[in-house]
Amino acid sequence: MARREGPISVSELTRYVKGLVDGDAVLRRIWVRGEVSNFKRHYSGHLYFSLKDAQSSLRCVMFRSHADRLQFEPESGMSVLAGGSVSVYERDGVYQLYAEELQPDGLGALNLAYLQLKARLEEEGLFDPARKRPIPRLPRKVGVVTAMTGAAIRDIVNVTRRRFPNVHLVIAPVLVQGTEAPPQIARALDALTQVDGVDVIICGRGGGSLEDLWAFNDERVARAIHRCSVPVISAVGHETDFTIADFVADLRAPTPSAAAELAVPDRREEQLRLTAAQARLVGSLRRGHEIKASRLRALLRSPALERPLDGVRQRRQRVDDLSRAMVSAMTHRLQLQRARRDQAASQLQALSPLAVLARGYSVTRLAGTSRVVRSAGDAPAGTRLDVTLQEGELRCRVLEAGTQGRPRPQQVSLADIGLALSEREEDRGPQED
Amino acid sequence: MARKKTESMTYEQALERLEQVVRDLERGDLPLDASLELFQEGVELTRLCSQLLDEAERKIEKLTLDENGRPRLETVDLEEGA
Repeated sequence: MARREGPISVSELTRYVKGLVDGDAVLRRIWVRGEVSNFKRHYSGHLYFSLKDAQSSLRCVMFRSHADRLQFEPESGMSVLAGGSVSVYERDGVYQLYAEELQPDGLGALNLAYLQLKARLEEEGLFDPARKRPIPRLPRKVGVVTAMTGAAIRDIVNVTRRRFPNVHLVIAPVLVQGTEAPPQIARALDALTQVDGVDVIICGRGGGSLEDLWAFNDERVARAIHRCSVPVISAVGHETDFTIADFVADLRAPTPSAAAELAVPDRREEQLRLTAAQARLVGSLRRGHEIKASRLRALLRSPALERPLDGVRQRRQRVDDLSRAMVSAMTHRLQLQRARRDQAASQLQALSPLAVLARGYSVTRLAGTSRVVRSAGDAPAGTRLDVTLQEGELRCRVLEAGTQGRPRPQQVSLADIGLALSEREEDRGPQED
Repeated sequence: MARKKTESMTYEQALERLEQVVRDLERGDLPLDASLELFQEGVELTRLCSQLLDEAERKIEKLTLDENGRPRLETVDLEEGA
C-alpha cells in the first residue's frame, strides 16, 4: 500500500494486514504446539478453539472437511500439534490458525518433524501413487540396504534363498540407526543403482522403537529412494507405523521377510507355471494336430480317395454286363432263326414230292416234257411216258388207252367245267359235249 | 503385431507372451502353419524363461565404497542360518 497522508478505513487496514499475512511463506504451512482451550464444536461441524501456552493465545478454526478426518476427539486442556495456515478473519480483525491437521502432542519434536516432512514431501509429489514402479517378477540381482548384522539381513537371505535358491544378492551394509545412518543409507542406495543387474532394492531394518526407526524418516533417505533408478521395497520392521521411506518407496513391506517375499519369485511356482505352460503348449498343438489329422483321415476314408478305381471298375463291369447281354441276345436271336430255318426245312421236307414218291406214288409225264399226265385220256395208246419213281425212272409206252377211271365229282364248279373245256379244246379242238 | 525379439525379453515379458501364445493355440482356430509357428515361439519362450530362472548365480556380494566413493564388490559368506 502506497504511503498515504490521511487516515484509512478499518477494512482497508485489515485487508492490508491480511495481504501481508497471506503472502508469508512460513505462515502458509505451519505447525503450532499448544494447549486447547475454549473448544467448541459448532453444529455445522466446524471446530472453534484457542491454542495457548504460558504467555500467548491463538485463535483457531478447523473446518468440517478436516475435522471429519481427525483420529481423536480434541478437548480443552489437551496438548496438541496443529498444522495449517495463518490468515486474518476480516470481520473481527483477528488473525487465526486455519487448522487442517491436529495431533495429540505426546511424541515431542520428532513427531512434529515427521509430520512436517511428510506434509512437505507429499506436496512435492514424492508419494504420488502414479510414480510407483512395478517390482520386476524375476530380478537378476537383488540389492539390499541394511545392517550387515542382525535379524533383518538374516531373514532376507533365508527367505530369498528359500524361494529362489540361486538368488544373487548385493548387500550394501549400512548403519540403520544413529546420526550416521541416513547419509549412509542414501549413499548405499545411490551406489547400488550403479551395480549392473540390480533390478530391485530392499531397504530397511528389523523392528525397534520409533526412535530406532528414525533414520527412515530422514529426508535424505526419502530423496535417495525417490531418485533411485530401480524400484525400492521399504522394509522397516514395524507393522503399524509408516515411515517416510514407506511412503516414498515403490512398495511397502511390513517386515524384511515380507520384503524378501515380494522381491523374488518362488522358483518352484515359476517352474510349475512354465511346465504347465509347456504342457498346454504341446497339448494344444497336439490337439489341433489331431483334429486336422482326423479330418484328413476322414477324407482319406471317403470312397473317392480310398477306392479311386472304383468308378472305373463300376464302368468296366457295366461294359462287361452289356457285352454279355449283347452276346446272349445275339445267341438267342440266332437260335430263333435256326429254329425257324429248321422248321421251314421240315415243312419243306413234308411238302417235297419225293416224300410222296416214297410212299409208293409215281409221277407220270409225257415223255420228254414236263407235262404231268393226270388223266388216262391224256395218254392214248402208244403214248410214250416217263414215270418217275422214288428211285429212278421208267420209260414206258401206253399199250391200251385207259378209261377215265377217276370218278368225276358229283358237282363241279363252273371253273372246273371251264377248265375242263379249255383243256379239251386245247387238246382236241372244239367239239360237242 | 510386431513380435518382440525373444532374446531381448525380460522374464515377465517372456512369461506373459508365453501365456498369450498358449491361449492362442488353445483357441485352436489357427491354420496349421500359423499354429506351428506359434508353437515354435512358445518353445523358444519356455526355453528362455527356464534359462532366465537358471541364469542367476547363487551368490552374496557386499558392496562397499572405496575412499574415492567408488563402489567395490566382494563376495561374502553369509549362509542360511548365519
